[in-house]
Amino acid sequence: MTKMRAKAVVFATGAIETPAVFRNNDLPGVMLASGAARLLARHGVSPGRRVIMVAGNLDAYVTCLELCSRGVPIAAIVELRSAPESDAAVSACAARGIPLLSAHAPYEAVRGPDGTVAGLTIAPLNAAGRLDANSSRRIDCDAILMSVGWAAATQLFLQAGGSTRFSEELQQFVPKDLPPGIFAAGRMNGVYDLDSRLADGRRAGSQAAAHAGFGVPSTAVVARSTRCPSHRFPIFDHGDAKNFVDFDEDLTVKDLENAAQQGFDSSELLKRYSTVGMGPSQGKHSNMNALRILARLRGASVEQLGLTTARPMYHPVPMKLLAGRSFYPERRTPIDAQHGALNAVWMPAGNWRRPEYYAVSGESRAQSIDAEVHAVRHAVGLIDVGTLGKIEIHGPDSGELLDRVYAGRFSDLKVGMTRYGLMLDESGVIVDDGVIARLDEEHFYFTTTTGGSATVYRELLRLNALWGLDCALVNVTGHRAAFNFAGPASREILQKLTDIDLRDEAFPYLAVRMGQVAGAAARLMRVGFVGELGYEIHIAAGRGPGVWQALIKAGVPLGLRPFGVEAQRVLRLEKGHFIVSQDTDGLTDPYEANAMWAVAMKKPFFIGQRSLRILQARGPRQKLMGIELAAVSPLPKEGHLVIEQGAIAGRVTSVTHSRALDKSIGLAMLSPELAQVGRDIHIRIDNGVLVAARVAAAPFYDPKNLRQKTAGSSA
Amino acid sequence: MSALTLTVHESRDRLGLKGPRAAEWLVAQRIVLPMAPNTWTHSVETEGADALLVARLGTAEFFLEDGAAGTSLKRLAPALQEPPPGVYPVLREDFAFHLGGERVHEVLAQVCNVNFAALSLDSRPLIMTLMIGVAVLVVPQSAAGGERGGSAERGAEPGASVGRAGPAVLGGPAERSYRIWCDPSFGPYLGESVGKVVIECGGSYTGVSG
Repeated sequence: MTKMRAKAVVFATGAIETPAVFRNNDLPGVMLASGAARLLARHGVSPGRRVIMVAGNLDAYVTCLELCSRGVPIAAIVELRSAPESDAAVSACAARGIPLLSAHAPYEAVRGPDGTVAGLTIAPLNAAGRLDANSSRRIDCDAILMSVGWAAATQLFLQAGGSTRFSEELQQFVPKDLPPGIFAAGRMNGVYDLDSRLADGRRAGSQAAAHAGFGVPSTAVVARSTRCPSHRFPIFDHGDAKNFVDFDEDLTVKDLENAAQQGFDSSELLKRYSTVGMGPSQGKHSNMNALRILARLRGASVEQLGLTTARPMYHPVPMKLLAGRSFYPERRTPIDAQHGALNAVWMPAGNWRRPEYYAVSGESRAQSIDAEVHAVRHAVGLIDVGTLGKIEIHGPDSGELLDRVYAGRFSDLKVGMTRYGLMLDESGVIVDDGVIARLDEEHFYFTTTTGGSATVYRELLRLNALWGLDCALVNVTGHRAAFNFAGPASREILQKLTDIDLRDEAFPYLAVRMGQVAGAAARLMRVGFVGELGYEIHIAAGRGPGVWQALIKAGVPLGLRPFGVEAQRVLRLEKGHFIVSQDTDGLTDPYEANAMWAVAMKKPFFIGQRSLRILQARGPRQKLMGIELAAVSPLPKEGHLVIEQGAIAGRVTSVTHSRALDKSIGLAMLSPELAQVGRDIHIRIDNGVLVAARVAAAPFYDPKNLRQKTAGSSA
Repeated sequence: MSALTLTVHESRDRLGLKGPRAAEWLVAQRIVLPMAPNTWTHSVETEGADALLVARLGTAEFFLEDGAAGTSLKRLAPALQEPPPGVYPVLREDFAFHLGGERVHEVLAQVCNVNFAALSLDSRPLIMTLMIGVAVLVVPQSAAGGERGGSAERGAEPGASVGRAGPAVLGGPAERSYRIWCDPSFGPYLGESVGKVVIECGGSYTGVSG
């Protein structure tokens, strides 16, 4: 890396073309006009055999002429404005007989049998700029070019301490305040005409040279463009899916609307919640359209919302993201085939696929999930939890490492026992959790969240190397299968398949034992995540299918049902257990999550300890509390806001209807004033209606945890 | 030149271990170790297709895989049930592939950043890298299997001095094949995805064969 310190810097970073937003705007064959022009001019590659231009500025017409000159047929120019400006390029296009459809916009790109663009359905725009879908019609094409606007490349300028304002005339951000030694020129400065850009460059260069001690600064004044290069709102929401705003993050108009509705309605909050602009292209193509959408939703101006600052390193979009094969790694547990045979309905969980529930003929989704929950509460259920992170730690300093990286104490954990662990970052925020089992004095085995395994493992490797402790870590996440076998009948069934004594006195709650299950070497942990007598069974991946089938076979006569993620969510919510990253967010500490019981503040050190002391003095900004809904319906959704005296006072993090409790329950992050059991609160749902709820004590189900701890010794 | 194929390895016994005394323990079990980090060798006690592959991952971790009819690990595994201090067993349930034949480097170039064609096999390199987003362990071999010779190895006797067990595996890039291991949860994805590239290149993909 070469670091240069300049006395003066001219930012002539230009502008980046931005796309239009319409349905299927991600199909192969939909591209920016400037990209197509570059392909044609530099490489002699035609964008298609029959092209449609979506136009919102004069550049569209210039590009059409270039395409025509190379013999590329233009099927139509779909002009978003009521009419194009008067210009020689517009006239030349008309002279060439290119059909012009003014006041029209894309309704949707049509997908052909090969997955690429086969046409564009367009519709006229009314005076309010809305599509009249009833008058839509299709035009065949194999390429759709978009020339609707530009975003000034101000990222480096902002990082250098400059500030911008939004020019309504140009529909782009332009420099407002320039720190000493910083100069701007060209399109980034709102100057588009070539001659003007050259003049602007000379002016800025002269002023920069003078600032550095060379020559006399130019006093020339170069006017910004009077012709608007960008359309005010090139967004034509189909109402259905796939109206992409951010192609990196697969964010659609609906995603941004949802985020705004949930209260993330400033440009900074929208970015962090939705991740718009946080992908590899750093928002180059998405930020302006996201701001326009948010501005319209809020009835504000783009200037009022402001622009976020791209983080260093600011860089071009890597070519590998734009070309070549796309791969999406997907993990499958060893029981994947068995889930398929049981009619699993799949859902993504991180990069895993997991059964959401198991479809049963004649049952609705809700009925199947209800039946799965019921089986766990009254008989037995079996869930594949092989997606949990699974890490082993060996060596004399294993307990010491765990004491440092988890908030609880583990060096004093008895061999044969487990303990819940909460992992914090340096700022005291909850980042992961799991169960830690001590298998012998120098050997622990612990689980992490499904999404956290790789991150936790990497971080522990780093810390172990940093601290030089005498222990070694092994990530066996994919190499071990794991099931949770839970329900009042779990012991009776499991005892038939294992040589481990399952009686309470031999295998108490929170113990871990090793032995054989259905002929496979297994580790059993007696845990209570779903609030019933239950065993987490961990075995080598290759033995997973056989043990799974043995459990199913033994359990079905006693009412066993396999259960999926959705039933597990209900069960754990009845117990009031939070899920890291769902019920907690990037700021939640153990005080706020009511999880200080899992923190050993008296330990000499653990990551986040110092911050917790500070946070304790400050007091919580929010508290995670149980809630009960006054009525069964309408049921709020996760993310819906709690409103108190017209202001946001919290949000729902989890909600469900509990058949066992015959009421709707949930968890909500509430302001400290509302976080009192018995307090009435109001939740704003999708249509703006406020529904009543009451803050309640959790666990909702079996509050003394008797079912998981003392289920008798029937075996 | 043989036809391009991607084949899922038949199930073989595998064993992993790591820790400050792992190398010492293996040597005590009469296992020949590769001396350099990220290299591999074959145990001298087995030959040909039954040879025990011994891979050194970094400095203090080892991965062993028996040949198709090998029995070395059946002998070793019981001894690891109660390992001595400083020797830590590593469960290895890897998904394993064999990729070889015509255009093999064309396939690899599309799925991995490592330029395998430029690798010299003289030192028996072991590559730990990402292949289409998945962490993999790759052992390049001559198309004939690369059963002979290799780099400096630690002898079978405890404390034995370093020596050369035979001539280096020879063969230009066009004659190579590759053994690839990955976390089993990524196995179906890796196989299906690389398999598509193999098929596009005129080869064939054979799924689980045992």
